[in-house]
Amino acid sequence: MQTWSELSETQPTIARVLQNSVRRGRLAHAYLFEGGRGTGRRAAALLLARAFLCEKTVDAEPCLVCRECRRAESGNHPDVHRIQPDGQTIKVDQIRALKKEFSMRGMESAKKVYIIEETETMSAAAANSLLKFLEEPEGEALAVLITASAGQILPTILSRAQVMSFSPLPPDRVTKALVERGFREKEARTAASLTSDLEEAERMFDEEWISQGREKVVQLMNDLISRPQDAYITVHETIMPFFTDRQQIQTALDLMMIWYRDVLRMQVGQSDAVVYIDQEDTLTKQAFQLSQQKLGKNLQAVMDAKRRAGANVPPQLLVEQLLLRLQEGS
Amino acid sequence: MSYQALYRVWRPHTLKDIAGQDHITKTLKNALVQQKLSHAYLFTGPRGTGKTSAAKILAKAVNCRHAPAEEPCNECDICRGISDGSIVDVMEIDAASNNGVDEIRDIRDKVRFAPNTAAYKVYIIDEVHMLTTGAFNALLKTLEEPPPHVMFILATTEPHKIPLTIISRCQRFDFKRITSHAMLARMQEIVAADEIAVEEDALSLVARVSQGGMRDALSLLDQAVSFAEGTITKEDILAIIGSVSQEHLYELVEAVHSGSVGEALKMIDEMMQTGKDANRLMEDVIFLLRDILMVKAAPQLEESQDRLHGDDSFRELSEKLEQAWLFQMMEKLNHFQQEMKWATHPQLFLEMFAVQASQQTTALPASGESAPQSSTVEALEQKIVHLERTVQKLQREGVPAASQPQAAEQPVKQEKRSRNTGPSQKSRAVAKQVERMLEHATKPQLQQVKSSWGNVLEQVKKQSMPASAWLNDCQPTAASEEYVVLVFRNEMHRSMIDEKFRELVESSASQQFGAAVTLLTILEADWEKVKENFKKRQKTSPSGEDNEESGEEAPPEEEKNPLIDEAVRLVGEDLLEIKE
Ligand SMILES: [Zn+2]
Ligand SMILES: [Zn+2]
Repeated sequence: MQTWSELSETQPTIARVLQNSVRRGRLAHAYLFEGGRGTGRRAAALLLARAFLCEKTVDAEPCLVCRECRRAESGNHPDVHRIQPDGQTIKVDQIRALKKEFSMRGMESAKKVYIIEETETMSAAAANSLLKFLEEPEGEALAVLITASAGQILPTILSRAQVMSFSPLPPDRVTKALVERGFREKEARTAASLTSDLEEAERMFDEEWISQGREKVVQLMNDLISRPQDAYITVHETIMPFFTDRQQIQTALDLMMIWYRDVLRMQVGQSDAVVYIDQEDTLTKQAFQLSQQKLGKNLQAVMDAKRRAGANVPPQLLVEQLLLRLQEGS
Repeated sequence: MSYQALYRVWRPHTLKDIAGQDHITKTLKNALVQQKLSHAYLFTGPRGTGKTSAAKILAKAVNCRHAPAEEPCNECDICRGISDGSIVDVMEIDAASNNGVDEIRDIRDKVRFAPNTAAYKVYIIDEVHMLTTGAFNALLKTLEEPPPHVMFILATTEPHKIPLTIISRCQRFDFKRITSHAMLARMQEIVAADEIAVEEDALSLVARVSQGGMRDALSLLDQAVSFAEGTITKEDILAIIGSVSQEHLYELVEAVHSGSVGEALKMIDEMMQTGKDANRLMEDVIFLLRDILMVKAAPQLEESQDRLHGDDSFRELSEKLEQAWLFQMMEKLNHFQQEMKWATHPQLFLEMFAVQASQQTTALPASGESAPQSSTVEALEQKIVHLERTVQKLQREGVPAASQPQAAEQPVKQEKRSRNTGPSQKSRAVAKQVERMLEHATKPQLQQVKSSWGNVLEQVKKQSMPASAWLNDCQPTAASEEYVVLVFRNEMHRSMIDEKFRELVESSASQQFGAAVTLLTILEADWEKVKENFKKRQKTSPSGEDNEESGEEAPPEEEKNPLIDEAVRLVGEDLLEIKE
């Protein structure tokens, strides 16, 4: 992503606020870019840094050819500092070093940019050390803090930065991009419903993982209705051996959630909105067999399981309990 | 040199400029004039409510050349020196980044010396709750015997983290969330002075979403200035915060309330596709319902009057929604809101809400928590439905034979029918009925049937497992106000439902749809033919008059009355069947 107009394709509001701010000389001292992976936060931060440093902007677009632009692009501009977690966290020493850097005169100009990635991993000491600095940076400084969720950031930091919330890429866009890269639509749709991060979605296709995982969950969902007595066996012989770690269990649960959501869509006559596009018959059938109330309960059950999966409940137990809930009263 | 954010530029420089904290500023002004100042103050309250600003103003006011006065002059050398930080007697310490004991010890040592330029040494300690225990102890020593020329102002968002021994030595002021009224007044001052063009509506919205924090409000306004081309509108603000307009919210709540799950889901989808934020939408719905509850509970309240003023759709909506329903929804919403904060797919929680809440509407009497009451309602409902069906049957078929009880009438008739005709013939005969019925069938009707068909199945299942098993093979494919067409793949299934379980399924369906329903059961192959015929007919006669059909079944002239027409049609079919 090189220009504001490119950014505005996916994040129109943010692109407009930032571009206008550069154009009208109204940039804030600190921004917090909040959003999921793949929403373009990093690229937008770099774009902003360039637009800020470039000496020949045209309508606030960086020229991309001047020295400042080229050095920012290559990642070794002396006045662009990037901080990433050192191991698990961003440590107070990293912030101290940054401050020291800033207290010295600008290497090239008075302008300096610092980009902090995964800001939520800052230690309490690091965050506190950053506070005053954000409030009154010396010279012309621009801070861009990047995080997955503003909810995890200290309120005092939040209030000192302008928060920009990046919206996730709509699944249709991700699907389209995946299909363009040669993946089959039915699996592309599934991957796109699991993540809005294109790279992450693409990795799901390694060794046909997504297509296998999908088939297995479809089988389970089918069994739950048509052969309830077999569902337990399917879990043990098909689901558990394939979805092995915690992360994969979460994905399996997501796939189940999407299934019920599809059934619901069928029920309300929105067949064009389903994800399991090759399963229309089964979905339609289930749409007639499950009441909306039961569907709501099933969705809730899967969501509860998802939360429990994050809280150290053994996967085996978790899925078995879920199965019981899905089968009760049906 | 670089651009200054609005909240920095408009940081208050006098007590009078601090919005919404009159109870505090009045006391401070009096203390300043009467020179009855304390040696230690504790300012507590949420962020963005003016604590640090008040501290700085107080530091200037006590030292100002024009003291004693209720405000600093901001003009004299002392005031200016404090503002630009050149007077070291006023020290601002951020406990968050200086939480060591050393810094506080340093204060303790230097505190004894007289001030350099100013009359008072003022130590402003921001985020004071961040101090370590050691540092608190050091601070306490100083607070116990403060030199006469020293003043401490401690500020915090989290007073509960401060030792009581410290609190008891301070005069405490609790800063409150700024009311939207006070916030609006301050913002109006600012936009007027900065010549920012902004619509009144837009400002109110900013005040509302900032929830009492001036800094958040000005920060939002700042973004709006960048975002807008020309005058800032309400739509600009909505776009920035990722919210939908009130009108869209009303529509969503209405859809949920009327039980239109499909519609609600579609709306949510559209909102998400246009980049709205799921969490924000959830919050907006909560706010809306809260407003409605307020208006219903206390219509005389000034806030209620404000909310109702000039918003007719809001008034209409609030009249439509029952208080009990609102309470139930609020409970659900709060629950979902808690859960969705951590979710990877927050949109799903919105959808879940739509599904469960819509369920609440349609199934309110049937599946409420309070079992005895709801089963009474259910029983009543069943009775009404039964009565309705009886009345309809009477209208169609005339008064039944003298001694025959109503309920038993139809099955008897069914048996008679099946004796007279072979199974597939039966399906074909129904085909004629279906063909007629299609003239009155509509898409929305079908949609309604489809979306609650699962409920019908459940209801049937409760009463008869075998019935539900036979029913699993079929699908509703057309619906009018009175009829539902069920298509079966298997004749065995079809006839079981048609003859053995008709009454049960019809009454479950009638109850579910809230109107009397008659089933028309048909085999898949016959259904396909009917569809073909119907399509052809639609082409040749767009008016779709049904008496243009084959002369055989044309009703007699004198029976144009739609009600009788309907009845005769049924009887006619029966006769027709026998002829075949
Ligand atoms: Zn350039
Ligand atoms: Zn003065």
